[in-house]
Amino acid sequence: MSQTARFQETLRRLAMIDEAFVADRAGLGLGPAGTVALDAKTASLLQLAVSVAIGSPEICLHWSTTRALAAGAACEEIADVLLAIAPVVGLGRIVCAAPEVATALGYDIAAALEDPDEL
Amino acid sequence: MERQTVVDTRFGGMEDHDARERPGWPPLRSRPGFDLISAKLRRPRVRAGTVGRPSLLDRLAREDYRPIVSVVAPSGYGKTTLLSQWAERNGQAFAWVSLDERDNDPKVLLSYVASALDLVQPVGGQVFEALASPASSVPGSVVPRLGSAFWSMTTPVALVLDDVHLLRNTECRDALSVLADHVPGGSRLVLAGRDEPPVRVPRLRAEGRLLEIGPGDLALSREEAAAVLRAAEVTLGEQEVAALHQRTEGWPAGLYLAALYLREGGPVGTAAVSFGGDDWLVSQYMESEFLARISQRHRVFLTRTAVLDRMCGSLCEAVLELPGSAAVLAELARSNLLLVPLDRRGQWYRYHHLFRDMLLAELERTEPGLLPVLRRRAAQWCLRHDRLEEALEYSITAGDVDAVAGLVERIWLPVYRQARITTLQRWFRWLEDRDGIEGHPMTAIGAAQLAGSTGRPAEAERWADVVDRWQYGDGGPGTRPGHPVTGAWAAVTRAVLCRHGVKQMHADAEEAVRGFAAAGVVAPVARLCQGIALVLSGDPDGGDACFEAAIRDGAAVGAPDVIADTFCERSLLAMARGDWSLAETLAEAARSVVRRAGIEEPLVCAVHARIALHRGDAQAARRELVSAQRLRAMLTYAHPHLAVQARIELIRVHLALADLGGARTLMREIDEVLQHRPDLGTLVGEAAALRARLAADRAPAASGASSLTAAELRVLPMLATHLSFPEIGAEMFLSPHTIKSQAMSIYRKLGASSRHQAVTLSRKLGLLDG
Repeated sequence: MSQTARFQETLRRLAMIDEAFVADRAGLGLGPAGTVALDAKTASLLQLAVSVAIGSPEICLHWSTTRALAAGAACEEIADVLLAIAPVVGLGRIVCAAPEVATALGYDIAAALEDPDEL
Repeated sequence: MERQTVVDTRFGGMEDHDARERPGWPPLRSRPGFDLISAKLRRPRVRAGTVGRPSLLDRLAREDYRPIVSVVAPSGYGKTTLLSQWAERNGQAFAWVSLDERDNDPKVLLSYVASALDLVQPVGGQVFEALASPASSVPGSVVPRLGSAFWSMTTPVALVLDDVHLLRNTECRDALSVLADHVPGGSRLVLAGRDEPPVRVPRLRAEGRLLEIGPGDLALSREEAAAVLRAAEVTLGEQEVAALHQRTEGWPAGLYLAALYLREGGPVGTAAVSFGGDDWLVSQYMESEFLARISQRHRVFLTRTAVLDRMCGSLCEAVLELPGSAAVLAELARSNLLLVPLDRRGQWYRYHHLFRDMLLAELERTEPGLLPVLRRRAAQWCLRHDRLEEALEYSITAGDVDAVAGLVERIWLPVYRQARITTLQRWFRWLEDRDGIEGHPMTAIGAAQLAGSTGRPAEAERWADVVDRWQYGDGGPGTRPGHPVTGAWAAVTRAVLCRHGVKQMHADAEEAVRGFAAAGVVAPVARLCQGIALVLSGDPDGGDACFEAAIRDGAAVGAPDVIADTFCERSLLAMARGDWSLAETLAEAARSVVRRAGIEEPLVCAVHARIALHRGDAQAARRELVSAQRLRAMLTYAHPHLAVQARIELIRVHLALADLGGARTLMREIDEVLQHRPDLGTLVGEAAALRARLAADRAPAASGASSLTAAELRVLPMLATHLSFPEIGAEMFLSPHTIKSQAMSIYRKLGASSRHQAVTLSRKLGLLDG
């Protein structure tokens, strides 16, 4: 195994959203939102919604979706987020985000659309 | 599912050289689960008439600091000859495996490799345990254990794998690549074949760890060519030898064929062909020159026996329907190097691959209609001599769908229990492609069972439909043409799949119990299903009675997975009653059953996790959770009650250990199963109660290792291989995009930032072996 230079390590861990690293070195508090009135699940769904709205890359969408699942959100609720924000963010954003959110939920849309046996 | 009749499934071992009879063979627990063909592990003897290769042998000895040796050349260049000469001359221990097509099942290949190494120095029971278990993962469990066993060998050994080009299966090829990283100091891994070995050649070359021998090295010099001709008792002048040498370009097989040709009286002028990489030219030569010169009797013998993988006198007689074939075989073996002896007694032989290809080509040219006939005769001989698997393979090459289906019906269960899943899948796929399963209900039942226990629920449903069509097809509902026992097995299959709810499951189970009883067959799985159906309908005492009956029945028959699950069900009922000491006794019974059989059952881990928790042993509970994680991917809606029940128990343990992430992941998987199978009786209520409990807990959960999803757990062992993401995707029928995102998710949940780290952390946590 070759030694990785420090800058390579930094960039790689950022690219894959290594939570501990990002929280520690980038100073971004990625812990659970310290919301009081909003429960953790709602907060995480909001984070996902904003991620979609600002056009975050696929890794961020995967990450936000996984966080929402960990906070107790159901797959239906997560899919509903896209529906809920559509009027405000527009078609482009949610169409872009849908396949990536699906991937994070274990559903490969591209394969499903290709599969001749899929009903 | 278990049968009453035990089927003898000789893997084709030769009676007098059954590997088990070899003195010093390790005891039963540490042996592979099926009979090995000992000839494959036998180092070929150096035969008279082959020429020595001292310069190559010196090179092999000199460059012994290079642990990987690759010998790559087309057929007939003397690769095997060189390696057997090396083995003879070298003082080091040699572990030899001659590969064939059937080694494209990783469990089979690695059983041979492990056994070959074991003959040099005991490899340890752990490797064979992993090999013998149908549930164990090859990249996750078998390969790492074999790798570390190899690495810790203290006796220097040269592990030779001959005909490596026959390995096309990705897992097999990757296993060799990983083994190449575990060659201990002083030992060698030698891969001989017709094309580049499945190791990372550029990397090994760059690291100076690879010794390569190619056709240029193996080609004979003029002196060596002269020696070959002399040994074949052919006298030629120096110029003629030189001409022959030039024409064959030093190709050893070409020279030997020329020698045979000259011995039969052919003129020197036409006596040679070179290997121009063109097999067609060579076979043209064969048909026009060589075969034309030998006697009719010999020609018939040679071409027709070419359909055989291995031959003995009796088999030749049966296939050719000519008495005296045994004598012809012995005669040819004496005078011809192209017939390779496979044992010491002079009973079994095979043709040199190149020779066989030529003979088959000739047979296809002259008597094409005869091929399936000959193969069918071979299959029948094998059947008469109790070699069911060989009969099956010959029937496959003969294209005899009915024979294959009948044989698969007889032997699929023992082969499944020997963990040779890839082999089974190959047979089922072959039959499927030829519509061979529709008319053979037991085969469809076997296919459904196999699909169900290897985590492919959609396929299991498809085969169940085939069985239903057979049972309720023509003649109205409930007509059961054929054997009544098959009807009982069909009913059990329906019960296990539970596609139409608990009530129907109960009806199917009862039908199965009745059917088996009427036929005098003992099958504990029917009672198990009956018991489960009763418990799910709210009658735990009735269910318990069925479970007890199943255990009583099962004691005589085997079926360790069924018995273990039955003990677990009883244990869970005892827990529900509050009788923890009984629950523990039953759980222990389940565990000893699976241990003795060398298998793994997720419900056993789940039950033990709960027992450990009740004892207050959090660490043991966590260990059981990890074990269950490794097995969870196989628990799909194909076995819905088991899938939900095991997960419910695991959730209870996760919650008690304050592991919300794991609990939530499991709950989502339960929801997925319930979507396909909503009617699971009391389990639905239990799941709902747990769901409510989880929903009430507002805390966010850390996404740690325990929240790895079943899909991610299926991908995890593949990360331990050398396969790229697209290659993993191809292997698992998923897109590279899916693999990539799952891999990232795995890294994140494990806290790793590289594939190597992820594998190391998984091993530390116990999710992978190694």
